[in-house]
Amino acid sequence: MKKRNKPFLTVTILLFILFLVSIFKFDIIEKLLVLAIKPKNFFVARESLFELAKVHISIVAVSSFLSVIIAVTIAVLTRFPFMDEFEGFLLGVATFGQTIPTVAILALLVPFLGYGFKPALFALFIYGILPVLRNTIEGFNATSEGVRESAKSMGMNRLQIITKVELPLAFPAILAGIRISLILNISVATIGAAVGLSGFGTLIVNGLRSDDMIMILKGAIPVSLLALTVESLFMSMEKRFRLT
Amino acid sequence: MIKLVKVTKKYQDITALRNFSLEIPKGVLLVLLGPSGCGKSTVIKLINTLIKPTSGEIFVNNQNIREMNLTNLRRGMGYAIQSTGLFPHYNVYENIAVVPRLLKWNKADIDHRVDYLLDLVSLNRNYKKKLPSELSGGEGQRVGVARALAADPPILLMDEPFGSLDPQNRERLQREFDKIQKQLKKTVLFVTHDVEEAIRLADKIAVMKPGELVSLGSPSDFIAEDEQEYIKDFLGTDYALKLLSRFIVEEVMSQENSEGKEPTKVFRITKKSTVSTALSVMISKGVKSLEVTNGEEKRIGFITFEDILMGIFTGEKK
Repeated sequence: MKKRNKPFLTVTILLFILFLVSIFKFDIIEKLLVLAIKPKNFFVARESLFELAKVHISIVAVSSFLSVIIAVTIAVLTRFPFMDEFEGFLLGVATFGQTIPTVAILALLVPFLGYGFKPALFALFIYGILPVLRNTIEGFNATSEGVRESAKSMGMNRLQIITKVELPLAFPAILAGIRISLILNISVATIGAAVGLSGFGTLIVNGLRSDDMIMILKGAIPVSLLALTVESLFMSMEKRFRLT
Repeated sequence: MIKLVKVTKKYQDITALRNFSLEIPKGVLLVLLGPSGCGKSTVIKLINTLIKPTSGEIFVNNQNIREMNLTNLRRGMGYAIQSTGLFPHYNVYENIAVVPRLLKWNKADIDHRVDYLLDLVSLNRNYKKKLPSELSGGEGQRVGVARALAADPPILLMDEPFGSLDPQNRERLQREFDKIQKQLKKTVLFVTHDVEEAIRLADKIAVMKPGELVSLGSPSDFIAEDEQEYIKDFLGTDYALKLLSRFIVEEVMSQENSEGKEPTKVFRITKKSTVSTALSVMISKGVKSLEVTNGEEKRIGFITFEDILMGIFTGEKK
């Protein structure tokens, strides 16, 4: 089983190196870009790319971490009989919520939460819950009836069935949910620059304002590499934990 | 050991079981035989308390299961089902060890037990690290049976445990399970719709039609002519022939050749062959008796058509 995810891991490492290069040695990329695009340099970024990366990653990490904990907790609660009626409702909310465009959510939240770091973080947190919640519930539902029945018939109680059987079996699905949530939040955090969130999006927004293509790419290239690295890392982990 | 008294189970407006009573004495393997959807599995789930009866009482060891601790009750019953229900994320060892671990056995005892069970169900011990997805259908079912036996429960509940196998593998597992059961003498409720499976394994057969029990008896009891139409239809007109596979030559043979005269041509059969094989040999060779050997070349007796008739009608296995 370990053999299969080797190519994915190699790709992950490669992408991560490229990401590091794009943050620390953007001047190399810039020299290449200058060949094709005329530089403007009206605006000089106050923060280094590394600072922006730190902010961007920590915003995504904190919000997604909280999302995962809340989402998995809610999903686990749906396994108890008293939550039976809510499961369909939650699944509906999670599925429907994901169809609302992110920008719309951000725009809608501004009047309530204002501009800045905290409201944007809150928006990311709420938004990140949905894919994890949906995948976890669906992962639970995918556990075969025979497996659940034999777990029960052998005298496992509700909690043992959840922790020893349902959660481990849903784990690849949960990982997929976390992956979707992270990728989503990386991109939403970029757009978040429009509502006052710092990160790679700052460069893109400022670049657009000053019509500076190089500045736009200075934000866009690292954030794309970051998203690709995370995607590939989680894909390899999912492969590792998938059983069939 | 297990007793159901006037149990009724309703699902909304469908009645799965109606006033169903049944008793399984200690050490008896009772086969619940009936067509799909007649409520056989409902009976097994009721005993395991996976579902609750609408009315009626169920007793295990003379104790009403309503008054028993559910998890303890379940841990005292081995449970094997058609889909095996093996945990896909556990390897063979861990799957067998589930109940012993729930019962907090120590590691050495579990190791020992798993080895013993793998030997018992004829699986190689180096299968312990394999995942269920790496097993064939037959191997999976063997692990399923081993898991049901794991904590040495006095009761086994088996719901078509060999149902998903091809005929050859199924017959092999049935024979092996029959051997295991003769050795362990568990109280077994075995559910199936396969008449031959019932004949091979059962001490007692309980025939069901949807929602109710129609007849109960030993496999030989069902060849009697006065049985109801429904039972005849379900068991098939060749029931008597199927019954032959239940007995082995050794059980019906006699010391002397009851044909009296020495046959002109002599054909032999080993004492461990089934009676159906013996009859088949007689028909294909055109003779009325065979010499029985002890597996090597030594003659230990004869089997004739008379012996076969006698053997079946005297009923229970010798």
